[in-house]
Amino acid sequence: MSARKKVLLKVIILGDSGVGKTSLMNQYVNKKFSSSYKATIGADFLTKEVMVDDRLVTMQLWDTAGQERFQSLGVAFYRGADCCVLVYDVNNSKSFDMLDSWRDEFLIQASPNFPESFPFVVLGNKIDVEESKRQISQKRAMAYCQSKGNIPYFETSAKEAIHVEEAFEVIARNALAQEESEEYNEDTWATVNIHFDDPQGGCAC
Amino acid sequence: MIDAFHARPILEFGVKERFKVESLLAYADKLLLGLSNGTLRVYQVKTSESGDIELELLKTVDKFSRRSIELLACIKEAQILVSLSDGHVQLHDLETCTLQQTLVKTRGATTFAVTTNIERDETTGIPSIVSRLAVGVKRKLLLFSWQDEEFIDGKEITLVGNVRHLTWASSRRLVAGLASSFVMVDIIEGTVSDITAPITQTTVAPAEEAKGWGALGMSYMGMGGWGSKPISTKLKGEELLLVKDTTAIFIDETGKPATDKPTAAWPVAPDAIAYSYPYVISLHAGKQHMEIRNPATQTLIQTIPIPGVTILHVPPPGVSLSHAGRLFYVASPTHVYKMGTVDYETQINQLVEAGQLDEAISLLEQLESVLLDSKEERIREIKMLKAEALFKKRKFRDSMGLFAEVSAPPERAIRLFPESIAGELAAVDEEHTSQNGDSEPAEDSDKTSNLSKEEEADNPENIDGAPEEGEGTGEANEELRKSEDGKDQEPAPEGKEIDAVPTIMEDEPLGDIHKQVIAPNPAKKSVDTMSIFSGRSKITLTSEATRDVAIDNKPLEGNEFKRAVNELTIFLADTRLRLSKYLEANNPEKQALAGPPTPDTLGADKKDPFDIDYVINNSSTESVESQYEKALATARLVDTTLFRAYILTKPAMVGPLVRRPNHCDPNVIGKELEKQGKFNDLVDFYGGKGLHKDALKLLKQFGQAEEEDERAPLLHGPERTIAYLQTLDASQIDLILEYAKWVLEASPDLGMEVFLADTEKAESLPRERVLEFLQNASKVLAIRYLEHVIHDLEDASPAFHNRLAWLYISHIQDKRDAPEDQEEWKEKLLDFLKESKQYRPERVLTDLSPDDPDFYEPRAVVLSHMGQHKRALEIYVFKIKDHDKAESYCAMIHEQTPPAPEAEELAETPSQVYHILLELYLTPPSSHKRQIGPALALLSRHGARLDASKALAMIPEDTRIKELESYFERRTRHANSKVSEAMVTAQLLRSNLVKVQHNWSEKKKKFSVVSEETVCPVCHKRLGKSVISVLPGGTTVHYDCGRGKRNTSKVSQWNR
Repeated sequence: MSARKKVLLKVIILGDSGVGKTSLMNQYVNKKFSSSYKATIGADFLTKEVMVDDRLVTMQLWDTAGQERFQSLGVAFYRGADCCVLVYDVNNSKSFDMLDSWRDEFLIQASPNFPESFPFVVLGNKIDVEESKRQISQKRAMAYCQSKGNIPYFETSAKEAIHVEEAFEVIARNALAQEESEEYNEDTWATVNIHFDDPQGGCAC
Repeated sequence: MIDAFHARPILEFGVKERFKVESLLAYADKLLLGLSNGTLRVYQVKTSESGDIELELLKTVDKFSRRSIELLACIKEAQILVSLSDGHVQLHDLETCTLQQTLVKTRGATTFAVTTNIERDETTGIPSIVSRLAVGVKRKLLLFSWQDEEFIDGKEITLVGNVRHLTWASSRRLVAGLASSFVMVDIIEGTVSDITAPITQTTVAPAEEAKGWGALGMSYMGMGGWGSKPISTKLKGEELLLVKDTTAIFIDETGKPATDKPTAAWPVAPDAIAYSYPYVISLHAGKQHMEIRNPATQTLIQTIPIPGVTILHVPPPGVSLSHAGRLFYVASPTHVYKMGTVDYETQINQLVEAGQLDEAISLLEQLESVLLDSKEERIREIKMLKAEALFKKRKFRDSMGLFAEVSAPPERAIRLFPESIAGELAAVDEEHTSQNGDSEPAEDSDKTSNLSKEEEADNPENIDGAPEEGEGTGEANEELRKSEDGKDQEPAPEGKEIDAVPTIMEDEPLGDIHKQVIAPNPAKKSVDTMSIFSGRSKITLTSEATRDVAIDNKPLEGNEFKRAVNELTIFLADTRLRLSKYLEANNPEKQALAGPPTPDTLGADKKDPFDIDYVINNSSTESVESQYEKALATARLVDTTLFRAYILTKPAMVGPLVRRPNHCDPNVIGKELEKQGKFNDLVDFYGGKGLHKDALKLLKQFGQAEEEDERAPLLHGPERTIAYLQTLDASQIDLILEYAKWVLEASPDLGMEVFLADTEKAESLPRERVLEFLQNASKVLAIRYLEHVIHDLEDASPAFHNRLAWLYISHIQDKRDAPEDQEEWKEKLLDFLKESKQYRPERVLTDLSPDDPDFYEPRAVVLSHMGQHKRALEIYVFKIKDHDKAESYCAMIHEQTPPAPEAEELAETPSQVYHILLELYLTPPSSHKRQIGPALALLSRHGARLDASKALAMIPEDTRIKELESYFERRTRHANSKVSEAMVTAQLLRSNLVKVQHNWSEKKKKFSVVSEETVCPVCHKRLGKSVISVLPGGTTVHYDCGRGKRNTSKVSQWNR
């Protein structure tokens, strides 16, 4: 495995509708924010090249539709993902409750080889909204992430660009680690059984 | 290798005859033979009902030509028979065979080609039938045409080389095979363009794709030279196939190489080629046989040996039906054969049986759907067979991908797996093995033969065209029987016809030998070694079935098994997703709510390439309900299998699966999870399925355990049960109450969270039931719940308020011996009684024993609620003997009562309560002493609130005036202050009057003059005597005109 070959990381962003998946991605890639809401239909992706430990990697960020009626993605879409970003709105407790569902569904669809160690990152978005409207405390979110195997957790604001950069840096790092371990595993999966002890061995011509 | 065609000899000339068959033409039911001695024979082909073919010689034209007749063609539209003989093209009448014309110009002709098309006149656009004849004379191309039966001499086009072969590509283009190359000639424009082979494509063409032709990587460069004749033929649609030596290229009608088909190489240069839908036929005179190929895959399908074969004649396809050329003739100098096709169903079945699934798919795809029953379904079926074959070859990813592509019913894929995954579905295979298990050494071969039988088992089904419904274990047996029957009944197609030996026959035993020789160790029977060997054999395509047999003996295990299961889970997850979408959209319960489906959603369903009917093996005639039922059953199968797969290979995925909405079979999952000790997931699963009782039972079992169970440490203690109960809603109240019991006993504080949590669900629980339940458990808990309901949830129903009061009271009574909390509880009771307005005081009063000192004050509060101030005060004065409380009670009541407006002096009520108190002090009921002291204090403090005369009347005679001093003083001061206040008010009002009068006179001074001529500035009409408005600026307008400027001062008309 050549360490310097160009790496493409597939990152999938999931979460309820209106939690700010598109906005987070837009803020990270384009440094832009729009306060008008437009539902994502199907899925859409943006790419960004980043340096992770002086390796250049291309992140392919897949933004998905949170609204059920726009979800038309099949198993093929999820396959080969390197990291899954779960987003909720800290001012909307239902979007937090749904994280588990998103995570479970992702695992079923993506069917990673090692579901226990598949990297997730949880983002609690919209922390710029006034404190009184907040429904999910940082403590509660952290406890959840802890219980799911120490998922990295970030509180972000796509609007004010708070912690977006840091979050995606971790996402890139974890995705890269996943990609590399998968590569390794691909090799082990495809073990070729060579029978040295075969008496009839040698060229079969 | 199949039997696509079979040859029937229909005519035989004795060896002693002095002529040979040189050319052949068939049209309608006529067969014309051009002989080497210049004789033309015309036969009529008769097919008897039994299928026998007879020829009747209609006529013999002896002197048709002086020399041998080399080529024949007919132009039916012009009733002309075109022949090439003695270097000339001659035209005869088609019926009478009399010579019409010898085309003198064609002297030295080597070949010709005819075509008939409907062409539109370039200027008028009127369509007419145009037949064209192109004759190759050395390097020249001569063109003739018939338009509406009128013969027209056309132009001449000179080419770069001698014309060897001609094929019409379209009505205006034709391909001319020259000595060294092919050119495309546009006869209208008169242009000639070279046809170049796609060199790059040949070099990169994967060997596999060119397997039928022998992958030699030959390019166009190799096409020149040597004497072999360049030949070409038109294929289906607009494609043409050009062959020179052993190289073949596909082009479209404009001469561009076809993009989807690579240039290929023929193993041996053919002498003639033709297209008989859907195959390419090539004639190899040297080898004395014909080869049938599939143009799409270029695979050799059949080899038909015909001794001495030289002539291949396929009647030109009709204008509209591309498969019209199904029947064709071949001839050797002494024999004529008619070629008949085997019907396509049989061909496909043969291919499937031979395991040439790719070939079968390709053939199906080329055939028009009208020729076959349910073409799509056949393709799908064969693709599924292919997927199964791929699976056996351990190409799991491709296999499952194919299953997904055709929306295969999941059971098809599932039953490929052993029982640990497939459950009941695996019973089919298990049975086979057990049946065959008794003969140990032969087991392997038996198993494989069974498997191949199983494959065949699908064929009879297909012929029926009725897909079987459901795949139970019972039917599996039947299927097996059927397959065996099918094998027995297999018809032997060869009869008296010449044996059309399929080449594969030669190959198959070879394959077997390979197996025995190279694979004594089963592990070595890998795909790779097999492919090496098959590469060595002359025909590169090895029967896939043969290969399967080689590998399938080994059961799936280890990494391979994991890999297979992993691919299966991906396929199943995909199917699951699609199914859930369907179930969501077609849920009858939901539909009942939403009414009939909107056109929008229907449209969306159609767009989906995924066909639900396929997945659930449905026939379209069934009702929507039963379809839904089937989909549910399929979903159950999918999810249950997915579960089994996860348990075996990825236990961590079980949790996600059971937590998501699923259709898993609870029996299977329950047992399995229990066996695996995955109780945590089991609870989640039960929860997701709504099997709350099972979940709670389990939780209780683990939660109550003395020590943590190492299998499920998280389940210990009441926390999980509480969390679980909190997710249940009001409809589950029985369960909630049943299982809340042990939790409350274990930890009342935590347990109460079930009812007290600030969630919608906790709030919506039926409060009476909860209260009843809690009260039975403990009064304190009931009180806590009621406090929550009343204070936090602001429930105002009197029943709860009454109950809470009663609970406080009885709790105080119960706990009399534990005085430490008493005060707190009393305070609570008192606060509650004071604040709540919802309890019924009469009832509460009966609960409060009048003689219990604890309840004196509560009684007073309740009485005051009833308006019985006297009784309330009696309690304060005589029972509690607390004058301050009595007084503050009066003050409270006084404040609560709103002062009667403008009649403060007369207001009897407010002072009434003080009066009652005073009365109680001074004229108590006989049992009590008069209390002068408090009475005087009351008088001095609140004297003003008492009616003076009444109060004084009550004061006992012997009271000293001195003691009343403060009372009088207060009283006088109060009166005085009232007087002063009134005087001040009077003065203020007076000054106000002056001010108002002044304003009035100021206003009166204002005026406005309206004369005869005065005009309204707004409407420019005279003001006259109409009502006017004077605007603040002094402008006078009509009242109506001034309406826009509302802030006007109105001045009446007579003010002028």
